[in-house]
Amino acid sequence: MSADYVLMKGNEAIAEAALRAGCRFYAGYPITPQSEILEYMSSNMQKYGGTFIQGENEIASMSMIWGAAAAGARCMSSSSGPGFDLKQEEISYLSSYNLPCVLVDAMRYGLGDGEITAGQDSYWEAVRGGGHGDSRQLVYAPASVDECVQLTYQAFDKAEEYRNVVIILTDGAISQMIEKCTLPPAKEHDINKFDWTLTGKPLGVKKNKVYNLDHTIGFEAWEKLMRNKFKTMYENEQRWEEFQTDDAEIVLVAIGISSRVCKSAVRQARKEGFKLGLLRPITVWPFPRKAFEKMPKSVEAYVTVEMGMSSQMGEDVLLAMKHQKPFYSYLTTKYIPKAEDIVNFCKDIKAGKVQQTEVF
Amino acid sequence: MADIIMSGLGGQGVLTAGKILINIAAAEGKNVSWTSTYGAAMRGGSASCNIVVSDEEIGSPYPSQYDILFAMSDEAYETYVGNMRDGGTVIINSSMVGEHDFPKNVNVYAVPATNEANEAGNSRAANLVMLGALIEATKLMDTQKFGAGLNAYFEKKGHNTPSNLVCYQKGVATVEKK
Amino acid sequence: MAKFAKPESIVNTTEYCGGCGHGIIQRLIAESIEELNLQDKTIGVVDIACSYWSLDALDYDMIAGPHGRLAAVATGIKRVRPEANVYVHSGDGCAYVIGLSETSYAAIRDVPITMIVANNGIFGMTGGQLNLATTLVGDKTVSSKAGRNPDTMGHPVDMLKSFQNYDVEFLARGALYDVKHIEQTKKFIKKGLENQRDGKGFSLIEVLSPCPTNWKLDPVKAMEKIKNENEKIFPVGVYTDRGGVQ
Repeated sequence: MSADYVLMKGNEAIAEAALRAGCRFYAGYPITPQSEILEYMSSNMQKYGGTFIQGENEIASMSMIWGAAAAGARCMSSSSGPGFDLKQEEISYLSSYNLPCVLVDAMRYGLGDGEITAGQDSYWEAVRGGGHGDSRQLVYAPASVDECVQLTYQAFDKAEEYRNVVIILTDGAISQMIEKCTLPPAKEHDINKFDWTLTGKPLGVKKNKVYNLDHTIGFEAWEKLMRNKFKTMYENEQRWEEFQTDDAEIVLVAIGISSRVCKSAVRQARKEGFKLGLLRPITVWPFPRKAFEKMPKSVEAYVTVEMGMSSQMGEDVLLAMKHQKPFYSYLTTKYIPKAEDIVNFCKDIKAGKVQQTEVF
Repeated sequence: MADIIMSGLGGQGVLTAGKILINIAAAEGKNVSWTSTYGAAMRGGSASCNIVVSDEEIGSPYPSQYDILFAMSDEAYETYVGNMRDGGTVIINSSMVGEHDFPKNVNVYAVPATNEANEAGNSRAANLVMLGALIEATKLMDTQKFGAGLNAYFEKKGHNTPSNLVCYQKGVATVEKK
Repeated sequence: MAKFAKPESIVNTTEYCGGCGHGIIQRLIAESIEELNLQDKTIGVVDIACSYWSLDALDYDMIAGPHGRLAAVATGIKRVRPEANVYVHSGDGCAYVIGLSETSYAAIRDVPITMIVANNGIFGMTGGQLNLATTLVGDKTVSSKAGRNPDTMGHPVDMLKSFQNYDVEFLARGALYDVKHIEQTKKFIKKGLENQRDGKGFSLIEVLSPCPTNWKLDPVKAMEKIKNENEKIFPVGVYTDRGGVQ
C-alpha cells in the first residue's frame, strides 16, 4: 500500500472510485447494506459537476441511467437483495441496446426480505441473471476495500469497451468494512467521445436510434454481435488470484468476505503443515475456468466456501474442473465463516469423513 | 499483531474509538481493518466493532479469537471474554462493568472511564479514557504518539476540544491491573 | 395553421393502424419542433408500444425506453444534456398506469422536459386490453368484455387533475377529432416545447386520441366517440400554466 492511502468503507470507496473514473450520473434507491454509496454520491457528486438522483424506485433509477448512458455519461447505480431484483429488466435491455453502465450489488443474505447482513447467495442472480433473454454481464467480486476501488475504476472502461453492464459484486461485509485503499487520479469523461450517443443532431447528419439493435441491423447480424460480445468477454476477462496453490492438496475457492477468511485458513493450515491453497475468482462472470486448467497435480479436491444454504458457485467450479476432482462446499448461511472451522472441514475431507457436496 | 474486539452500549462511542484506533495505527504504517454490525442490528442497544491491526496482509477481518477486548459495558465483557486468546488483554470500563471472577488466561485492566469522563466535564469521552487505558496496558503503540494522533483525528474532523486529550491521558494514568 | 407540406423531420413511413391518433400526434410534434427551429438539438423518447413506430419515422436522435418509464429515461437524458430538446411521446398505459410513479416524480422534480401522452383509453400494442386510468365506465375491451365495471375496476382518473397538485410548468389536454382541436393540441405541444427551450419546468400535454382498431369502430365513429363520450370525462383545455418558475 502506498503512502497516499486513505481509510474508507467499502461502499464509500466504490463511490469515490466511480467519481474519479468520471462517473457523472448516479441514480439509486436506499437499501441496506449499500446505502452509503447513494449517500456518498448525494454529498460528493455536485463537486464533480455531475447529477445525483434519489430515484422513486429501482426501476426509475435504472431508467434514468438508461437515458443518461444513451446520452453518453458514465453512469452508476447500486443496490442489494430485493432492490437488485428490480434492476433485472433494465440490465437485459442495456445489454441488448449496447449501453454501458456500472452497477453495484452488495449482497445480503437470504430469500425474501432475508437479512440485512452479509450473504453470498445472490451469486446466481449476478452471474446467471441479467433479466430476461440470453445476456451476460462482466461481474467483478472485490475482496478488499482497495480492490473495490481498483475494480470500480476499471469497470467503467470495461463497460464502454464492451458496451455492456458491468457489476461490482460485493457483500455486506466487504461493503461495510473500513480498510486502507489507494485512490486513483480523478479523470473526466467526454460525453461526446462516442459516435453512438444521443446528442441532438442537425438535419442531414445521421441520427442515432437507441433500441433493440436487431431492428437496425437485422436479427442474424444482431445475434452474431451479441454472441461475439459475450464470447469475447468470456475469453479475455477471466481474472483470479492464486494463494499458495502451487503444492496444495486442497484448493479453497471463494470470493469476497469468504475468500478473506480462506486466506487466514490457508495460513493457519500451512503452519501445521497442511497444504491448503486458495483460488480466488476476481471475475465471477466470466468464471476463471482458465485458472483450473493450470492447477497442480497435487490437488486432491476443491472446496468452495460460500455464505449460502446451498452451493451456487459449486456449479461453476464443477464445470471449470470438468468434474475431475472431488468437490465439497463449506456453507455458512448468514454467518461469516471462521478460519479454524474451514481448516477442520478440510481435515475431515482428508480423513474421508465428509461426503461430497451435491450441487442442485 | 492484534485482533481486537471493541464493544459497549450504543452512544458510548465504541465505533468511534475503533475508528480513531485504526486511523492512528494506519498512520504508523500498519495494515488495519474495521468492521461493525449495522442497520437494524445496531438498534438493539449494543454496538461493537472488530479491528485487526497487522504488519502483514489482513486475512479475515472477523477474528474468532481476540488478543484485546475493549469492554465498555457489562454485556460487552460477558459476550466476548470467552473468546480471548491465552495471554490476551481485557480492558474494562469499571464504571459499568461489575466485579467478575476474571479468567486466569487473560490480563484484566480496569479504568473507571465513564466516571473519569464525567469528572473531566466531557461525558461523551469515556471511549477516549478507555483508549488511553488500552494503549497504556497493551503498548500497542507509543502513548505520546497515540495522543498526538488522537488530537489530529479530531482536528481533521473539525471538532476537537482540549478535554479529548485530557480524557485520553486520564485513561493512561488511571488504568489499573486487576 | 397546420402545414400541408410534410415536415422534413418525417423521413420514414410508419405502421400505425388506419385512423390511429399517434400518427397525427407524431406529425404535430415534428411540425412544432421545426417551427421552433429545435430539430438540431432534439432527442425523442418513445415507448416499446405504439409510439415505437416514431423511432424510425423521425429524423432525430431517438431512444426507446422500458415500458412506461419514459419520464425517467428523459430525466436521465436531460440531466446529462440540459441543452437538448428532450420530448417524450407516450401512451396512457405507459405514462399513467405502469409508469405513473415515474411520470409523477418527473413532474414532482419539475424536470424541464416535454411529455406528450396519447389518451386512447386502451392498451393498443398488446391488443386492446383495459386501461385502468383511462378506459371509460362501460367500455368493452378484450380484458373487460362486459364493459368496465367500476365496482371491481374503479373509475377512470383525470390524471391532469392529479398532477395539478404538483408544482409544474404546464398541463393541458387537447383532442384530435376536428381541425380546431388539432390546432389547439398543436398549440399546447408547441407551448410545452417553448417552456423547455426557455428553461421553464415540466410540461405534459395529454391528447385524446382514437384507436379505431381496438375500439372496433371505423375512424369517423372513433372521432365521434371521443367528442361525445371521452371528452365529457376528460375535458380539453389548460389545467396548469405557471408562467415560469416562481
